[in-house]
Amino acid sequence: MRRVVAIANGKGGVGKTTLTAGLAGQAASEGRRVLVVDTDPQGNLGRDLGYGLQDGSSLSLAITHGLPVEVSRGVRDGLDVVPGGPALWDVGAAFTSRGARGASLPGLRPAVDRVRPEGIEKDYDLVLIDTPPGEPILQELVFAASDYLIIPTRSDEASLDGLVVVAQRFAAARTVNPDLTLLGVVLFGVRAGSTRLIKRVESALDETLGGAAPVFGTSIRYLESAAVDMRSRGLLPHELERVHHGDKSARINRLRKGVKVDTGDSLLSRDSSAARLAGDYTALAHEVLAAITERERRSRVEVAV
Amino acid sequence: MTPNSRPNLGGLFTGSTPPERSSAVAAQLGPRLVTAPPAADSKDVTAARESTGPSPEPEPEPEPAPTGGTPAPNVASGPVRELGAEVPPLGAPVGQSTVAVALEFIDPLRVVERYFAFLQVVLDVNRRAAIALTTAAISLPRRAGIWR
Repeated sequence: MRRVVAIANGKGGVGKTTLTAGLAGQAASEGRRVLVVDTDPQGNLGRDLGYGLQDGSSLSLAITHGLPVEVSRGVRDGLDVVPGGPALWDVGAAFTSRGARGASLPGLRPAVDRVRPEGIEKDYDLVLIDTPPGEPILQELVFAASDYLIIPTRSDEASLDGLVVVAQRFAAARTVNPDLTLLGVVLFGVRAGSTRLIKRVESALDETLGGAAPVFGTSIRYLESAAVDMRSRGLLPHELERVHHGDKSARINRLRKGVKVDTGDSLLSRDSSAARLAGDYTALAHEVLAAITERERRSRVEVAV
Repeated sequence: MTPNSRPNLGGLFTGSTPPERSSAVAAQLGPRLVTAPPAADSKDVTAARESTGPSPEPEPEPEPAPTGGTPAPNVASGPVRELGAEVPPLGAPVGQSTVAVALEFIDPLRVVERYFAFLQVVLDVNRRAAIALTTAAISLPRRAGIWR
């Protein structure tokens, strides 16, 4: 059974795309079947997952005309992607013009529902949708098509203000999708060791959310060098950790042979920090999946009652 | 950060506070497929319902064809697979060893690399110095006119 999870915030640069890629990669690496849908016209997900930039026209036409969407299969084991790109800018215009004529559009959910894993009978376990920050129509389309929402935020005021924007869009989207549920908020890009700051922001978030959803206990740490390594090589956090292991062996061999170390193409991040970052994503993925399981369990109980 | 000045958004997320505006896409969206609530019975899982509004108790219906496209293949989803069923308890060390945590600020391999790089520099300096001294020593008698 697929669970469609949107990852959104009203502000850009809060880690939506990186978080989408990291969670998807982690879930797929643990044997789950995952589909990622990139609804961002910037199409930056391609950098995180290491596939070439695309124009997103297939997804755009699927939303506006109901055409079958093209899927990039096997981006990782168990991970397929519906790429985004600049053609998605057209979706807002299509909605405006058709709205003026009183015509309807298929929207995102039918397009996503038609995508099935290749070669196996079973469905995706998880569908993650990356959203653009500044495109209200695209974001509301995603909300109308999703079961759950995860909001990543940074610790600064502007990022927290993005919550207000996303809350209004969320509430508006529930008029067409009453099942949409806020799964939780993730604190993204915090410096390791800033315990006091994390506590303070978590407390502010709890107050802002008013008990509607939890702030996930795992936050994703800020590691510029690891971020650069991952995006420049199209690696996910757990893959960077593996690359570090391989890199370590090569360095030991160079030491044995007395070959001078060439720093030109070496990794910028440290293996210990890559391991900690990978650990963050692993823990967060487990927390998110456990939260979904818990919601489903509660749902089943309510249905049974 | 001033937590006291933050708005309470809980109502917007739970539905107890109405939105300030209606959905920008609500009017244009066609009939939407909403997956049925998860149930223990796999038959319930594959059922879908058509929903155009916030009706809390919709009847399960056969999945209608999506607007304007090829219908979704009728693929059995199988029994509900609990996503977090095999998840280790939170707080357990994941993706890193205790040693990695302890060595967060010390990369032993880098230390060794730098140590050998330093030795290499010392060796190079020694070699140059030794060659220079030897050369000077060899050329000294000639300079002093002892040998011709």
